[in-house]
Parts: sequence; structure tokens; C-alpha cells
Amino acid sequence: MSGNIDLKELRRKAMSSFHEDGIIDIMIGLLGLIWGFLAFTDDSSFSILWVVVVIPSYWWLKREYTLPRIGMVRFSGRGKEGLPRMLVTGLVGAVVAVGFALWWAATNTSRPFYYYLITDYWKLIMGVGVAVTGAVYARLACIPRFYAYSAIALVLIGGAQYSGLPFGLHLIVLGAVVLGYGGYLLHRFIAKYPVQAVDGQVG
Amino acid sequence: MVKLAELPVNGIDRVIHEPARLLIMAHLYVVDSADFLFLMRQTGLTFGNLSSHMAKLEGAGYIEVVKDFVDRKPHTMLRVTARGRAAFEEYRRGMDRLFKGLP
Repeated sequence: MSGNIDLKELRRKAMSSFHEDGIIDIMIGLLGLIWGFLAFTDDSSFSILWVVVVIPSYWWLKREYTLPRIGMVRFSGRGKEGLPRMLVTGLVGAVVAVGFALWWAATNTSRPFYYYLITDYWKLIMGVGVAVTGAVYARLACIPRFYAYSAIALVLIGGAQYSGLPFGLHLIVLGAVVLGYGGYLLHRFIAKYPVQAVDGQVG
Repeated sequence: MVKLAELPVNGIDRVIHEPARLLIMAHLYVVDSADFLFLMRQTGLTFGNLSSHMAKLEGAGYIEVVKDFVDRKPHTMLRVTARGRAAFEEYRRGMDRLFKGLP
């Protein structure tokens, strides 16, 4: 019997079912919308603070909608299961490194070639970066719809390099698409899984 | 023809070998921890069925109850112990040996 149990498939199913609610889509979409609107203002410095708001909101929504319906699961963060978390950490590290490299280059009179490459083509670079990150995350976290989001991000963010439209508008459209689909997934999830009381705890 | 007595079945862990408990162990093996409801949904077992099998696994020292926090609120989770993980891996090896011995 053990030969017929596919542990990889079980793990994939556990990961994808935990994200079936669309809450991660709602949070990412919301971030996109907020950053998009902030891009129209002169003060975008507080945009990173919204991440501090979104992460607790994510767990609040999980507790409110997901836990009472399908329960809670944690993945170890060790070995292959830790790769999505490492990916996010690596991404943040890369952004910080690029930011530092740009700052260092900007404060020097003789600017290296990459300074102009980044400042002239930052939208295209960002679009490719977001698309690659999204695709890798889709593979590691077993959320196939993130492949589609990655493609849309590449077109919208990377396309902003040449579209002539305000950059914030591209982020707003991307955010709205992801948020909208996340909302649809949450609605479907609530309809599919009624709240299930378990002895001693809800969820 | 292989004789039944020659098959290496004696070493099979009968705590894990029961289908429902095998399903529970397999699901807990691939995650860090999960709560009761998640296991119910994933395995398709009823509350009563799951409870009795969990008690057996806990009694054998293969799973443990841990208190976790979700959104700063306490939440009861279940996790395979190191002993349970080793037992499950040995069970899988034993079953592989068993099936390899068949024609």
C-alpha cells in the first residue's frame, strides 16, 4: 500500500488547498493597488509600511475564513519546503542590494554603466524581476495561477517602459486583476467549504 | 512460488499499517503540523474515526499535540514526532522490501 501513496502529491495538495481561498491574491492585489495610487503622489516613501499592514491582515483573514473551513497547516521551512520563504527573503535582499548599488553609484561622480542601465530601464527590469519571482513562487508553493499573474506582470510592468502611460496606472491594473480574481476565489471557497466546528475549537 | 511464511511481513508496523492511520501519518509526514480539521478535510475521515486513530498514534508516540498561535490566538496542532517519522520511513522501506520480494 505504501507504494501507492504519492507523498509529493500529498504535499502539493496540502499546499495548494491552503491557498485555495485566494487570500494571498487579495493581499498582493491590494498592495499593487496601493502602490499604484501612491505612485501618482509625490510621497511614495510610506509605501513599504503597507506591507506591515497587509501581513497581519493576511493572517486575520486566514483565521476568519480559512481556518474554520479547512483548518490550518504549517510547512516546515526546512529543505525544499523552505524554498518559497527563502525566495521571498532573497528577493528582499536583492532589492536592498540593488538600491544600495544605485545609491552608491549616484553619490559618485563617475557613475558605472549599470547605473544608467537601471535608471533608464528600471520598469522593464522590474517587470522581468516580478515575473520571474512570481513564476518561481508558483512552482515552489504549488499555486499554478501565479504563472498567469507573472505573465500579466511582465506585460503590464515591463510594458510600462514603452507604453507612455503613468507607471502607477499599470500597477493599479495589475493590482485590480489579482485582487479581483482573489475575491472570486474567496467567494467560491466560502461556498464550497461550510464552516466546520471541531470539538474544542472552530477549525 | 513464494511461500507466505517467507514474506517479510512480521516486521511491518501494524500501528501504521491500518489504512486510515497510514493516511494520517502520510499527511502529517509531508507537513510540519496540521490541525484536526485540516486532517479531516484532507483524509476524508469522520471526526470520530479520526479521533480514535489519532489516539492510537499518539499512544504509540508517533504523533504529538502542540500548541501554536495563529493571529496571536492559541491553536491546537498535530505533528509527527521524530519517533513517528522514523517509524513511517521504516514502514515504507519494509513495504518496499515486501513488494520487491513478490514475483
